[in-house]
Amino acid sequence: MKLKGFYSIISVLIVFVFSHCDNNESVIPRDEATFIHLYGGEFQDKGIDICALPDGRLAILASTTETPAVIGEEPVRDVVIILTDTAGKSSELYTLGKRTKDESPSSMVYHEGHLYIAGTTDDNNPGDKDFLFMKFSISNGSMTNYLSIGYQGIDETCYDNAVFENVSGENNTTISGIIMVGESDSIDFRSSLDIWVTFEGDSIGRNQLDGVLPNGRTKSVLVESGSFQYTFVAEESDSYTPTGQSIIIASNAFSNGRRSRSKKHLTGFNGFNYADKILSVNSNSAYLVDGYNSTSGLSINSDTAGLFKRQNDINFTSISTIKIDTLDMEVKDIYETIDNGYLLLGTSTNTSTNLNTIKLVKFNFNLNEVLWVQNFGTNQEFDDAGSLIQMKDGKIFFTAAVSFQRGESNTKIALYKTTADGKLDF
Amino acid sequence: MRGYLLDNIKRICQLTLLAVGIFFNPNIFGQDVCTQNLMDARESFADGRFLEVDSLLRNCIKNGFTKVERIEALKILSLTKLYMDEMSEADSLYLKLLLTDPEHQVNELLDPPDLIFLHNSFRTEPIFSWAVGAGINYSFPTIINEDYPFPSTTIKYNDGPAIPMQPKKKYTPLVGYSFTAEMDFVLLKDLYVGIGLSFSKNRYRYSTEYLKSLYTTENTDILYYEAIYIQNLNWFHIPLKLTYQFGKLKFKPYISAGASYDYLLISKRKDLIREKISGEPETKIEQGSSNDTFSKNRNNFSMLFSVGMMYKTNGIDYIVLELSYAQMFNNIANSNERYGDIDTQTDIIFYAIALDSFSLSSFNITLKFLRPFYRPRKIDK
Repeated sequence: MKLKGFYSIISVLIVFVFSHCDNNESVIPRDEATFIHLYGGEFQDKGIDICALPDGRLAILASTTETPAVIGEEPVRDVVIILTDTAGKSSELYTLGKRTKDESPSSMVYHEGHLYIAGTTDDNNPGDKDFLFMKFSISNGSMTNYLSIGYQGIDETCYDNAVFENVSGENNTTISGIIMVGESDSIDFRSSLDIWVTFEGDSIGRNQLDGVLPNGRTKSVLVESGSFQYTFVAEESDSYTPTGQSIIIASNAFSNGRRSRSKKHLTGFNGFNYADKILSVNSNSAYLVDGYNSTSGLSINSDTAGLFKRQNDINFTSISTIKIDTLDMEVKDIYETIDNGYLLLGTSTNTSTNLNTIKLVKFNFNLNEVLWVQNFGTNQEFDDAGSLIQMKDGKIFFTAAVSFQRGESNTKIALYKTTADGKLDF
Repeated sequence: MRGYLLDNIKRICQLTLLAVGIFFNPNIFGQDVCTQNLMDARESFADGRFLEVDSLLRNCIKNGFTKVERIEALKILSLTKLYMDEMSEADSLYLKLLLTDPEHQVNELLDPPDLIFLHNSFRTEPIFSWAVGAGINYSFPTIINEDYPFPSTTIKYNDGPAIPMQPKKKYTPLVGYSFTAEMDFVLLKDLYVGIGLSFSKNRYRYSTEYLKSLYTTENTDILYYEAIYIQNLNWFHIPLKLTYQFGKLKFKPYISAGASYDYLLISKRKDLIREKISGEPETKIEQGSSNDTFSKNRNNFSMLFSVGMMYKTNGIDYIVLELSYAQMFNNIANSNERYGDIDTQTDIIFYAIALDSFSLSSFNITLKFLRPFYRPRKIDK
């Protein structure tokens, strides 16, 4: 009787213990996990852009500096490309650039085994800023083309690029390449600029955009599939001492190797509006997002996110606008989610402490509702959002610059992987 | 004159002490009588004069023997009653013997078979024992799933060589301490089941190195940052185990196995970043500490194995030295909360903290004081 009771107690104990133990199924494999991965060294390393490669890997565009930041001086930057494996466990990191020259990347596109990087080069002399074109072979892990493109004596700054394919060129030729957009800063005025380069780095075309002079800058470009048209967003100020700044959504087209402007629409709220990203949802509509400042000042601390939606209207007469008052952040990137929402990635600055927080936000345009906000980073002055992407399984990857020491300008390249609701957990 | 006075004082003191001793122990003279009676009883027993044995010992057993004498007297008297076929009386007297000396043993070679039979008809094992102790432990994480704050990376600068960089993540066990209190109950002969309460502080060290600069391949001096944290985990345990003791020697070895419910009381971390450059002293850059209990699962279960040696002191108590191994089953990292809020993310990034899924293993050396409790009684046949 006593033994029977004893064995019963032991059996119950064993069952109880083992029923509460982790087994192989409950420990989720690594590639299902969310994570924060850090790359880079000291001084200012920043994650800027991210894209998914056809084989499931990720490519991250970043920049690095060899020397500490000095107030009033631009650091000498190099371009960094990071290629991860599919699980994010290992990576290849390439630092590209000329030692004495500042290469500041702004965006990257993938096309048939290569990464095309657009940015700005600078010799740190007035008038020496030029558009930067880099072609990087993923299979060889090396840079196969490097171009500085610009007018002599005028600074050109590049903000975005996009791929175009099979556009009719001069003399009945067909050309494919990338379009880079940015601003041209001549002696006494600014003007927007777009430059296109073929994939091999020749056949350079360049145009100043009509109608945005004198104070304009083109921030983002989108080539809509199957069309010679490309759509871009730009900023335009009304005078040399502006009290306001509008956003331009415009569409151009190639014709015989030349670009001609076709449509233009100005939009925005009162005050200063900053364009950032144009996003294609389908061939008939596009979205634009940015932070804007409703006051007349130029304070960067009063950014509020705004969304501008171009409807299916070829004449650009119908644009829906939404001001997201609850989001005091400068939006850096937007992504349409698999469930018809929008993910916004941005940097929010605390006006009293001047410290930054990287924010990932899900927004429903139709309901004008912020669904959730997640905070990231180290809450330091130099934290800055980069770019994001959402995978088919809903997982979100984004890159950013995160400070690595309190009160220092040292930042590292961060790659975040979150759940579909922006959480860092399994 | 002065020496004479001192001698007298000394004598008076001695007499006073003697008087006090007699006052508080009036049996001191009676004990001498009983000692003589015990000697006489031995002779009477040997000569078969059993009736005399009873009359010699009966009164002294109540109050007149030392403990050793009383044990011998009860043993002689129990045997006497056995030989006189007064079984009930024999049982009663032997029970008194066992109450006086719970761990009394019979000698299989020297003692009469009747006495051995009588002894075996009683429960002579302790019904339970309690123990308190303290010890040290040596803990190390068992990694279930790794996290890589700095992933394995190949770094290439323009057309330069590709430099592979593997994360140099390392866990080092550290010494902690524990306190324990437990009770063991008899299940079978030499087999005990025990339950306890214990507290332990388990500690380990984590360190990782990472490149300070992407331009390392261009530099002659290799620069690293080293991130270190010391993790302290305070646990409350409820162990349940089976113990088998070997033999009845003064040194009694035992083995035990069981399981434990573990509750994490608090988890704290101390962080440190050091700059390392070849040929130069390390420089401390940043230091911090935090309570990171939220990032851990507080409920856990362990399996326990231990071996030990019990040393019997002059009384019935034991000094126990135990070496045990405990392996937790569950993932201690809280997968849902391990990144916590933005302050936690800051700590993770600043101190390059790995968020591995892990369980904890530990070796423990414990010194215990153990006291058994006996309740001898006739075994029902």
